Amino acid sequence: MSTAPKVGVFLCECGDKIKGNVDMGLLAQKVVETPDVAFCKTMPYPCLKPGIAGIKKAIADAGLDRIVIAGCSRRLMMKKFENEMKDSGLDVGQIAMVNLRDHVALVHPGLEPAQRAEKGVKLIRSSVADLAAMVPGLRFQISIEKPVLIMGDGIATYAAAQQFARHGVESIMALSLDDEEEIRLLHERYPGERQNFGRVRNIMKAVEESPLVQRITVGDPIAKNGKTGNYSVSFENPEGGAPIAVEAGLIMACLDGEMESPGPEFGHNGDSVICQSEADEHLWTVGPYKGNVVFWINDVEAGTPEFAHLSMRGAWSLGRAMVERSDKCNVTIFHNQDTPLPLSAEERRISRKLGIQWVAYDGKICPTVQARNLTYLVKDDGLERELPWDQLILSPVRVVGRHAIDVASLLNLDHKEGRFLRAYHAQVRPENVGRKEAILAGSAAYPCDLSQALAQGRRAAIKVAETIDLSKDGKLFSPAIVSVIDLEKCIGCGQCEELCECGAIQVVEGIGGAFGRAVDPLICTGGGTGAAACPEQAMYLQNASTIQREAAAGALAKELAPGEVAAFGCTWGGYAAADNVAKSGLAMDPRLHMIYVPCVGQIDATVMAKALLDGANGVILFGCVPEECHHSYGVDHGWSRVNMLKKLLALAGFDRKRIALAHADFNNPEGFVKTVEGYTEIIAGMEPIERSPQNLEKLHAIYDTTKNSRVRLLLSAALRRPWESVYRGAQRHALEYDQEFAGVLAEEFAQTRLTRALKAQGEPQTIKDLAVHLDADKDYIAEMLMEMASEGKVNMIHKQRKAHFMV
Amino acid sequence: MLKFRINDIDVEAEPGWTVLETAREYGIEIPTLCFHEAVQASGACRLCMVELREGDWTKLVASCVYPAKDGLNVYTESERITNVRRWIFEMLLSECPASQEIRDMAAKYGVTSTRFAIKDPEQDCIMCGLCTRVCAEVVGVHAIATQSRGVYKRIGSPFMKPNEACVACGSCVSVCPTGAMARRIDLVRGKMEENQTNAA
Amino acid sequence: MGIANLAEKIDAKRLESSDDLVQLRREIQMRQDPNQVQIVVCHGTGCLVSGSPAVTRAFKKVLGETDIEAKVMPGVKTTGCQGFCSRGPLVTIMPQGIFYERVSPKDVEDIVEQTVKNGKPVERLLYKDVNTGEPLQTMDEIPFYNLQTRNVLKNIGTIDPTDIYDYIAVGGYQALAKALTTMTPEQVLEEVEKSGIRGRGGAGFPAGRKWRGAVQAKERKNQPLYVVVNGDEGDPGAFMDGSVMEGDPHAVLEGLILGAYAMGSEKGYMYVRAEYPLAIQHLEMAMAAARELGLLGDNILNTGFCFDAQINRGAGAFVCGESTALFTSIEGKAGEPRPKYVRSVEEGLWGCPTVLNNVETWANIPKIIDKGAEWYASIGSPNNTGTKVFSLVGKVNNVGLVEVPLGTSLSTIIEDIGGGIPGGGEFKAVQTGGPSGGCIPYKHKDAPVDYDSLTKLGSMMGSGGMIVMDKRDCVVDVARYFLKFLEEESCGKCNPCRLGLTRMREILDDFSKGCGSEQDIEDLMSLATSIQDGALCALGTSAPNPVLTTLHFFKDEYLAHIKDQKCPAGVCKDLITYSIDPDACTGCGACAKQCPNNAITGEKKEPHTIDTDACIRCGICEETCKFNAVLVS
Repeated sequence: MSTAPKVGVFLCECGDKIKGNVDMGLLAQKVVETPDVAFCKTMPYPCLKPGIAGIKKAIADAGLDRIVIAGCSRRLMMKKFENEMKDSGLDVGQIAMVNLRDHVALVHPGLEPAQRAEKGVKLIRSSVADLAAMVPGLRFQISIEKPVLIMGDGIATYAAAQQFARHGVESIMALSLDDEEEIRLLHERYPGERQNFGRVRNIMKAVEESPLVQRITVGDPIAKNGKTGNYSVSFENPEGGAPIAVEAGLIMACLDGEMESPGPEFGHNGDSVICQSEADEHLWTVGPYKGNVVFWINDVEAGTPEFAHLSMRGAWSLGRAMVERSDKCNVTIFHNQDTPLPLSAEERRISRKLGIQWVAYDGKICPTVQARNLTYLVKDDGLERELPWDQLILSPVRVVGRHAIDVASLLNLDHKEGRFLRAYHAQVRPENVGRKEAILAGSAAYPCDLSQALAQGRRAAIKVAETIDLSKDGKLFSPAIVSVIDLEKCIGCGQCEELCECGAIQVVEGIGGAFGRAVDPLICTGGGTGAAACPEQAMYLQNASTIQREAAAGALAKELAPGEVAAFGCTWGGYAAADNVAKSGLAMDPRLHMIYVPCVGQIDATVMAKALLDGANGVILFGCVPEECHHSYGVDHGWSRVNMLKKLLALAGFDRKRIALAHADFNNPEGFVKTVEGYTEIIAGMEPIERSPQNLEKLHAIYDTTKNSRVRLLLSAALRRPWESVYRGAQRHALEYDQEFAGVLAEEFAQTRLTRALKAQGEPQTIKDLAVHLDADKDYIAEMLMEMASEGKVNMIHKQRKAHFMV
Repeated sequence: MLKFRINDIDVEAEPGWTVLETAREYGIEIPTLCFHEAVQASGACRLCMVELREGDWTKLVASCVYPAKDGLNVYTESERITNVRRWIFEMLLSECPASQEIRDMAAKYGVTSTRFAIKDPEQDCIMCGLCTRVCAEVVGVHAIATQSRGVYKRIGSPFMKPNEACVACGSCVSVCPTGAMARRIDLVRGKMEENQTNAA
Repeated sequence: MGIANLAEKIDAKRLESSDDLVQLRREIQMRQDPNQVQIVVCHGTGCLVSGSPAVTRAFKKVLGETDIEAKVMPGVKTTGCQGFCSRGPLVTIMPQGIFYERVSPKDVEDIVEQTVKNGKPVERLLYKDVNTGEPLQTMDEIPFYNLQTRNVLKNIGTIDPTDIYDYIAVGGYQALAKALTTMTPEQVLEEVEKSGIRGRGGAGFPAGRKWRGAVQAKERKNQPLYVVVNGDEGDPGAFMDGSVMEGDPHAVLEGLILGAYAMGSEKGYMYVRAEYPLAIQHLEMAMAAARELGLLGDNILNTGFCFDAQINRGAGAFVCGESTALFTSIEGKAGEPRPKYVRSVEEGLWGCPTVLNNVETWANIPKIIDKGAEWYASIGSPNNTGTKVFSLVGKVNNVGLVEVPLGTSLSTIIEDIGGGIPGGGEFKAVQTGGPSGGCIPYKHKDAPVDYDSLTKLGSMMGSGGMIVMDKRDCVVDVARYFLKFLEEESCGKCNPCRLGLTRMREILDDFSKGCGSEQDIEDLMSLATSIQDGALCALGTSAPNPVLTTLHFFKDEYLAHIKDQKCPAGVCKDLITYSIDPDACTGCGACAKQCPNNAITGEKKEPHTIDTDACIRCGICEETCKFNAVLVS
């Protein structure tokens, strides 16, 4: 396929908003002159039905295979265009948008319409270059024919299996417990919910009877391999012997939370002071307590106020069961006044009838546990009171169990110490938002009561079944923008796997026995974290590759005037903030030219170097506010790369400030405008980089160094990992790492320059020649050359008793 | 091709286009507030009303949702339309006095004052519902919605608490015609760190 | 023995053909003894609140204790609303048909003793003619009933709504059997078209034309067609549909099934407001019973026709009675209307062709099919065929449900059937069509009540609410009341309705306080016009009607408020003063005791006086005074 790309550009007038501020004629004329532009048309509203009809017609008539729409915000409009253009054969990634209205037309009051047109052309040309460099990647169909594997022993397993059976989907329940144990554990996991156990048994029975559900008894999980549609999971064999291997099309996890007794600070002693699960056990094995039974809903004091509601429901059920079974028992439920009563009107009536007391205390003073007494404060009168007790029952501490964590980590479900499994990385693409729900159910995801846990299992199963239905109908495809690994280049270093937060990277048998990597396209969120970090550049984002970004950056840089700045803005922070500048009635420094990227963490260092090489005198990345990054710490990754570029700039003798990272919040356009102005002033205050042969040589060397495997490996090793909650900049010792990295950079930069120089000269050179040529220290050059010679990167020959080097 | 007339100008449209879309294609301006190209039209703000005439019979319709038909006779400015617009602007001026956008737009249509008492001088939300529609249709997450009804209608996340469903994309802020959402978004996405912007 | 008990003896097996149905009916009828004594107690909502359950219990208790000869062992039957709500609880003793009003449990013994055992009426419980004071024994003798043409209401009040056999006994499901076995869907549709029936929900769109349009859309778009019952009756003072659903649920269901057959629909919805729990309960029971007999569900009467329906509860939003809001509500979204430029017969529920008709319309269908279109078209006037049920409320002697042929004059309904206004004299105006309708003054009392005439008068038929007003009703206050209602019920989607109704109400508030100007009236009219023109749905576009019609017919009264600062009807509190007529006052002190603000003073047996400053104008003194000595000015 060597047909040249045919890019169509559609210029939006947006009523008067663009037309009234931009010289549309000039703009169109310049756009037409751009290479690869096969078609250009100015339209009043490309986004309305008449406009869309016009675009479709142009695509058909001119045979366009990619289009740029220069109009307004891509965040709002892109989805519409992608949907509308589907039947014209354009997929996601083949459509680009330039925000002519908010980045150019409405925010530069100081410019003339013609000047605005000039700026618009630069942005459009950059976008055209990006599209033209695209090698359309194919979507491929994914089929799921094997059954669904449900792992994790949670009670939601049964509800999920039942739902699958109803839906006609085969499933395998891999359990380490039998039904009786499962029911026994329910007492500990869901105290006070005995009234629902009958329902659980019914579900279990239904599952047992269903021919579509297969049940296997397994030990701990060992390994998981394969992609969506074709997984194999192995478990330890509980009876000893060979591990049990299971083949599955999809995997879902049903994980229950567990309960622990509260600590000694609340007086827990397992006898007179116990927690709810112990009380449940006692109630049904021994019988109700006698005397004053006080349930203290101490979740607020224990630091987990969000579970107070659950504990209260547990206390209510237990307390009710106690009073109904014994008249020698007085139940008081003692709770923080900020926790509302979780009772229905009918339940309140029953509570009154049974004489269950509800005592609310002022949470400002923590109630004190004393022998046979609780002292507490009431809001109204400030008077300390006493509540006598014979049996004190505390709220349980809810945790994620060890087994649940094992399963979660095997399935790459995010888990942070002391947290529930809810922190799944899901905010990247809206279509991924529901994914957690589809593979994770049970109270380990979020503490909940039994019926909610069962409902979660059912809901998750419904979502999984939807995916299977899509596959059955032949409508399940990999996304257009997804990471792909070139196994010929992959060395199996595993950096991508470590950096990937969505758990999409799978190990595959590589060439020569090495373990290469592959991506599960249905799990990959297309964030590009791994691709930008790959030391060998073996991984790339299909339809949004680094090559495209480089083309965009280069095309823009070529157009920039000396005082102008190239910028990259991310969907969530920088680009969004720029979109909102006009809305707030603000003006933006016209010298800034922003290229759209989904996340600054996606920008490879080569792209930044390319911008500098091709003419930019300043490059700035606008990411999200720190800790608000939507991707896998993209801002931190961006910062690491910017830092590297700064070091390289310094090595080459350029100002480090020529590259920068900034943060922006979409709802703070004022701050954004100030940041922009701050940086453009810095760049305008510097002399532009003189594009002399020496300087170009250095810039080229910088660019080449960013592609150097050794440098890239060192860089990616230091990037922040998904499991790290705090970014420390480096792995072990910040200063040591920085010094080591700086040393390696210097070495590789110098060697790159030497290699380039030798190649350029074409004939053997002496150390002195090279030192003069590169304007560098002779001894250092000599050292480098000797090292390169020892590694076989250069050949050393002697001419007239002087050492000459050549490649 | 459907053929009809807008303001006595002959226009052509494909089946499926609305009157508003056709008018815009021909450069005829019709004011809108609750219309945005990214989402389905809801026909709620009623500023885009146009008059259809056929002999003595006339009728006002919302052009953003009225489908183009053969032989229509559409007028985008008339006494009846002006009356509707004028009252809407007067009421919006008193209802959302904090919105400069509404003041500017009302002034453009000749309404600079209102006979009605101002209720809440801080109010700037015009309840056009664009934010909720963008959240649902474009972002696909339903993090915000309208609550209550009638005069008590409000926009926000469920229970007016930060909502986990919110992906903090800011689309609602971008689409909001008055900037009201910019002042509400933090209630939806949760608190932000103090230092919102600084250059590195 | 009540028919309900017969069910145990009759095999509740699926009916496999129309012959089975005929056979079943014969079986039920055979077991009914026309001479059997039966006590019929009205359990319509009105009578329920007046205490009819206690009456029923008392009957059962007394009959249980009484030793009556086996041949007259009476049954107690509870029915839906018999219509004469102001006189409840109502009891009728069959077979004589002796009609008792305002029966309390303590009257029960007398009734059993005298009427049940000896067949003699209890005179004190009989209805007395308003004019002559003469007691009237049976329903047929009472003008309230005998001037009506009870068609939809025919069975209500005579059958037990919870018993399908009772409905079958009076010819229920006969129309369905006839249609399914002897008519093609097209013939059913033609019959409905020929009957000329217009939608009973408000706008009066011919049902046949709507059905035809939907069938065409269904064929063109190749989509399923839905039939929907609109039972979201929410107008203040209207209770026709509720009574029909409560009292004759099978008629609604049968109508719906017939419609589904005519239009080839397989799925129906009944949207009933949650405030009608009894209606929902009875409809659910009706559907369950019909399913059991094979009259609903798969393969109805073994003809291969399949149709099922479900009930959706409206959560009490008035606007959900609007067709598109009703659809969005059924679809599970917030009940907000959507623009209706594409008709719902083309794009309704789930975007598919949908026929939405009101309860009363559906309840008419079985009668049309059963008795034929000609019969139906012979009632009423040519373009307004059939009968219409009105709920007659307000300042009228006989409050209740009234069914008359379309075209009957207002005065017939209000003065003859309704018995005129309390205290006699002319009524001032009548509000028809609910909050979105208009006020029609006395001078148009001879206007025929049909769709077209009411529209011409600036009002509308609506679903049939009729609120009668007398000279003590202030039109400004009435207009304000309706605006307030609609303001609260507006969904808030479109600006004119959300903002405009409040602003209109505020202007009227000013009037009622005496601080308005003539400019305000002009503004009000202009604003009202803009809302009529601009609002998104019928709730908004019709909301200004009460204001505009009252302004049209009673402008003087408005001007009195503005110019003279007076409320002629003595309603607007800020504009009236209470005083005591010294000649009429006997000095009994009753008013002073009731006055919440101690504004009335006076010696015993001496004329009292009201301190105007302290008076909060609550009007309790006026209500309390037995001598009409409290004057309002």
